[in-house]
Amino acid sequence: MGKSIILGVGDFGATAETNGILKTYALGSCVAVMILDKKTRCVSMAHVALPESSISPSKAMSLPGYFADTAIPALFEAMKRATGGVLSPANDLIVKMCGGANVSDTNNTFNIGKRNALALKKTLWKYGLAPRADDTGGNFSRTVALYQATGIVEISSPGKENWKI
Amino acid sequence: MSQDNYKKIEKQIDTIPPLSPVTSQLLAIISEPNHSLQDVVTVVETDAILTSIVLKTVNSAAYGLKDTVETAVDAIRFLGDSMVAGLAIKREKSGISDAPLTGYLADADASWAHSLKTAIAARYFAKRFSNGKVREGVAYTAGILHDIGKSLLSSLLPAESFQSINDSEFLELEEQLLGINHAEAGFMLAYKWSLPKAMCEVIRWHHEPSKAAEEFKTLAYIIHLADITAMMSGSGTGIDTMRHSIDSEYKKFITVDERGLELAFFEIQLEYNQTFKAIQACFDSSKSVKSEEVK
Ligand SMILES: [Fe+2]
Ligand SMILES: [Fe+2]
Repeated sequence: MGKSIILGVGDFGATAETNGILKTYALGSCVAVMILDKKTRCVSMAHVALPESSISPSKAMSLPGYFADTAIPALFEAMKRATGGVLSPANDLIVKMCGGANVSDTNNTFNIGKRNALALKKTLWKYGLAPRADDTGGNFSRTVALYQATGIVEISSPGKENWKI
Repeated sequence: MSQDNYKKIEKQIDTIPPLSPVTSQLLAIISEPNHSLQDVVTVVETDAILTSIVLKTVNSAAYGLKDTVETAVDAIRFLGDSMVAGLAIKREKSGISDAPLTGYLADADASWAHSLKTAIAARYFAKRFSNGKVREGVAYTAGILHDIGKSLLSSLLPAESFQSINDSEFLELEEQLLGINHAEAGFMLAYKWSLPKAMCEVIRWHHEPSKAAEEFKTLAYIIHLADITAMMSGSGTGIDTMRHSIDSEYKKFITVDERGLELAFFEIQLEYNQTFKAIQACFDSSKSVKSEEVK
């Protein structure tokens, strides 16, 4: 087993280390967005909690992983740091995401989970990216581990069998 | 079956150690509209262990204070009386705010994390969006206590067979499986402990706030919203996380718009990160605090 990096809410990280693991716990309405570089074998993950950094621009600078719009560029930077400056073009990047659950809501206004996923897709699109695997929605929490060696994302949720994307 | 469980829960309630007098006094003081800081200090100072917890917390690296705080009064002034009550509850032998909820398949410290995040969120909403109707300290302590019923149901839930269970509303599932939900069970315990009326009421109705008595409705909606906020932002208690619906009527009682709610999410998380670290450091460095007899 390689080194595990545990990411809290709003954290982000990258690893190019053989057998490295990126992990985040208990995603509710938050979304884990992950970028895998096929060429450098570097993987990254951010635990995104809100769609837009404009609600608190000054603080977003110190916690870019917290917001969908600032998380993606932060992941690019983290991946470059992990590889000594190399990041492949969009064609060689694989994106996966999961989380973004919603509580049931008759008025359908309390849907931060849904909006997080949407905002991430919009931001990714700006960089010519789209998620290849998307396991968002539902009304349960998810814990996520991304394995550098295989690029496989393992998801667990209390009371459910683990599954992979 | 349900009758059986009801009896089991009643029995369990009888075996739960009572709240320590210090905690009960703190809860009563905080429910008092005109209490002073000194009222809280006086009670805390009668309890050497609680005093040391308060001092360790305020001096933890998480707050990064330049000078060491040496007196209870300064510590309480900094932490606020509601947080001191929260620490007193965490210290309780009964573990009502931080027992590992294994029946809910929750991680070991999920219960305390959920109580604390709900408390911080509740205080935030009370301060900014309740139009002065709910005092911050009451909101905070209600947040700490709202799920005490879960510790009663935890051992009765069939955790090993959850995989065959659908994703329905968890409150209904508790009723189906056990004949009682955790809010009602929590209310039974709160009543037995003679907690202040406001606490009893919100423990009972935090998932169905429209049923709370008129005078406690705003508080009930605040805890309702704070609870959901905690679950959404990664501080749930295992299997029931995200499986409670939101009552949109909260908008009538809590004047927050979508943007305000998002900013709240963010600011609550920052405060929670700091507070959780400070408290954890304190309880880790003094593992004995819980096992010592509460006098
Ligand atoms: Fe609850
Ligand atoms: Fe709760």
